[in-house]
Amino acid sequence: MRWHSCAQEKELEAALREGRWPRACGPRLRAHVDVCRDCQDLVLVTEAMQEARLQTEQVAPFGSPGSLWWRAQRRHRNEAIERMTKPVAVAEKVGLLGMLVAFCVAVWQWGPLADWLNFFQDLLGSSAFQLDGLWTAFSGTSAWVVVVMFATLGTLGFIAGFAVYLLREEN
Amino acid sequence: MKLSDITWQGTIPQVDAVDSAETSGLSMDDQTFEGFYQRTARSLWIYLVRVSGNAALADDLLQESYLRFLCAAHWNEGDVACRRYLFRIATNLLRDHWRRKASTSLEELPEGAFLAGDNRDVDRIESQMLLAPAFERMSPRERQLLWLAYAEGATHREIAQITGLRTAGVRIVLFRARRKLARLLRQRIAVAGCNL
Repeated sequence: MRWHSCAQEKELEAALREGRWPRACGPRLRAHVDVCRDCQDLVLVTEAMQEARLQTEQVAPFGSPGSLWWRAQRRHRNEAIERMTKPVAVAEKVGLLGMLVAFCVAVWQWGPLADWLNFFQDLLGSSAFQLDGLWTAFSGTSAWVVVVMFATLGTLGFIAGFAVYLLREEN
Repeated sequence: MKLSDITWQGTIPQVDAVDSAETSGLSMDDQTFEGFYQRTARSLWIYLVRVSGNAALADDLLQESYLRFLCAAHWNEGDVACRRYLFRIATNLLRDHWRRKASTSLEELPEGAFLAGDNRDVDRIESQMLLAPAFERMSPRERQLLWLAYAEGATHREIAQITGLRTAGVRIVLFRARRKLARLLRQRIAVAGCNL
């Protein structure tokens, strides 16, 4: 199908848009429209559209811009709060996940971890520290080492969460 | 400033200031928005109701368009750019609505898609007119382009910016759609003439 426009189309479009068609247009343009099928299409479609627009305008509701303004303010504020709390929420999730993983690894690899804890115990100069089982890790003087370890892992997880969030925002 | 110098009395006004900044952080103040709304709301509603054929849907999309516009637009870009941006938001919302229903691209939707539903608001508005039955036989994309071009008087470039199509694509689709609509209108006129 041919789709290039007629040379008179721009002039006719302007006349239709400005309400000059047909009376305020010259005889040359009117004579052209009489013989040009594309321009006849343009006149027919534009007049039908403009008439439909006028008719619909009469029944168009006119709501209150004030209520929209108020709703937009609320939405804007909620979005701002969400933006502010999002990194904390992400960091919390990553931190919790990190602690869970650390706990699972500690249970799974208790032997090497006990050696590692013993090494720390020796390093700190503590005497008579024997890890016979899981319960000793959480009792007496060795419990604080476990607490410090988990707290460190949690903090690292929290910081990692922030880093993940910042990287995602940057992307 | 030392950390010990920060007091709640000093901090709370700062929080309030941030809060009011957020409140006025919208793209325009309420007076400017009211003027903009009065200049654009009718045109936008008519566009939505004509293309969707559903007045209730047009109401919903109109409100959502303004909400998104207020939260995102930059008023200093000027009235024309803001109007174009508003129509673009509305067009995207229409497209999203159709996609949710059809899960296909707008170009592939059949003629009359989402227009001939139970809610025939447009027919009620203009039962005596010829345009509605002819419009039903156009695809959603054709209805969009025709309305923007011949009812809103938008240029091909403006239509391209609103719909996300290329300008050359707009020209071709619009030419074909216009020819098709003119043919349908002539048929309706001939049928109406025979019935008289």
